Amino acid sequence: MDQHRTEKRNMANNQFEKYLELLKGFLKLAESRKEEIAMELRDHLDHRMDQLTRKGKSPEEAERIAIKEFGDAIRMAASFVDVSDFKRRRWMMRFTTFAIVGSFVTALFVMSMWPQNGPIQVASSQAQEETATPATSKEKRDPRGVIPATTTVSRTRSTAEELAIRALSSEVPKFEVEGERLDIAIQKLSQAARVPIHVSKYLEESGVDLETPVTLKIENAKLTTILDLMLGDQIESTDWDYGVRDSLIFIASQDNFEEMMEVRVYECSDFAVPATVKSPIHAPFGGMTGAGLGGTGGFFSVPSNPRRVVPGQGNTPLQGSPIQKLFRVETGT
Amino acid sequence: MNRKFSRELLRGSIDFMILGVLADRPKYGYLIQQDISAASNQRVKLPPGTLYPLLHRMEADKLIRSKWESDTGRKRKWYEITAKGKKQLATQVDQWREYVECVSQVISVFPYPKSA
Repeated sequence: MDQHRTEKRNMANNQFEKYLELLKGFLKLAESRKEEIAMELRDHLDHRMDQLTRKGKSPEEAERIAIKEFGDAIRMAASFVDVSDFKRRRWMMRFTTFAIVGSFVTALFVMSMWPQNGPIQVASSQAQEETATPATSKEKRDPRGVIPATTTVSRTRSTAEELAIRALSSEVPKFEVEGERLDIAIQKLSQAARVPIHVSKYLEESGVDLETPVTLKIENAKLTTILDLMLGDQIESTDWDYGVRDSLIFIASQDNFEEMMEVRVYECSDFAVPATVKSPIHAPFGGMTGAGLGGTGGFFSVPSNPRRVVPGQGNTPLQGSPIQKLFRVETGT
Repeated sequence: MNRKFSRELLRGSIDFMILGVLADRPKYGYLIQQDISAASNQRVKLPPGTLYPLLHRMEADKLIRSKWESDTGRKRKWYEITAKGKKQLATQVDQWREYVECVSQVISVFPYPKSA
């Protein structure tokens, strides 16, 4: 049957093959794809010629009619190329979509793993850990009760400091002690403020009696205010101070603070250009407010409290410190 | 009256006519053309230049799939409807019936000039 068709087509001058060659010339497709299309169209032509010859047409006439029905070879080629382009465009669109989604997911992943984000949780958990087990934290310090100074300033540690700094300037909703020992009162304040407060065991050597009964009832007051009221108003000794070290609020003697003083070197432009300010935290002890440089402390941890004023005692712990010398920090005394 | 339809009128419906004739069994191009022609009482005749690129596009859209088979020693490309094609056919048939009803309703409301 097929051989019979082929013979008929061959007899009819093979005009259709010329048509196919013309068509294939305009198909910008792979050779195998061109041949597939040609094969499919040949099959159609054979069927159509069969039908026409059955109706009495000569093979030549049948082929002429069939080829005419195929229409313009260039237009047909353009239609096939359109399909191919459509597939290519769709593939490109899928690829682009996939690439965009992939990039977005990757960016999200990178952002979630970025040290600035990830370790914050670590810092928080460190802070919680220290709140829960202050004894463990204490073991890490040297026997003199002084936190070893470090010259490495990691972002994690800085963040932990920031959290403690925030805690100092945050309001404590309610704090009430009546005739409690000072150390117990501080412990209760630590719980109320949800921040670890550590009292140096050498504080007593400087004359601060941790058994001094403390009575205080206050609501919605800043932690700094409560500490000032508890320590400044109710303790006779004035040789004490508080500051932030890592994630910890540390209460120690002036000498302790001098010993743990850490000098960190910052570029002056960090302080002078507002755009480079890294934290909006208003440091309770940073001393920058008085310097008229924007009041943005928190970059450095200076274990002193220039804002705290003990009447008549002239407590100015920053005097003579490197910060004081560099920036002429006014302590407010 | 046995007129052929205009190309503009056919443009949006040829693909679902093809899906319709493939709904019962796989067919090759010439058979699809003949079935549509017969079912439309010779009023819809798809020239090969329209039919084959359209079949290839529908295959790219995964509405139909094709396979080459050799019956009587000659290779022939057969097309069959896919699950996606069947779903689209069902949707399009419903839409088309609603559309025909809608058009009929619109033109019945307003008088229109009778063709000669």
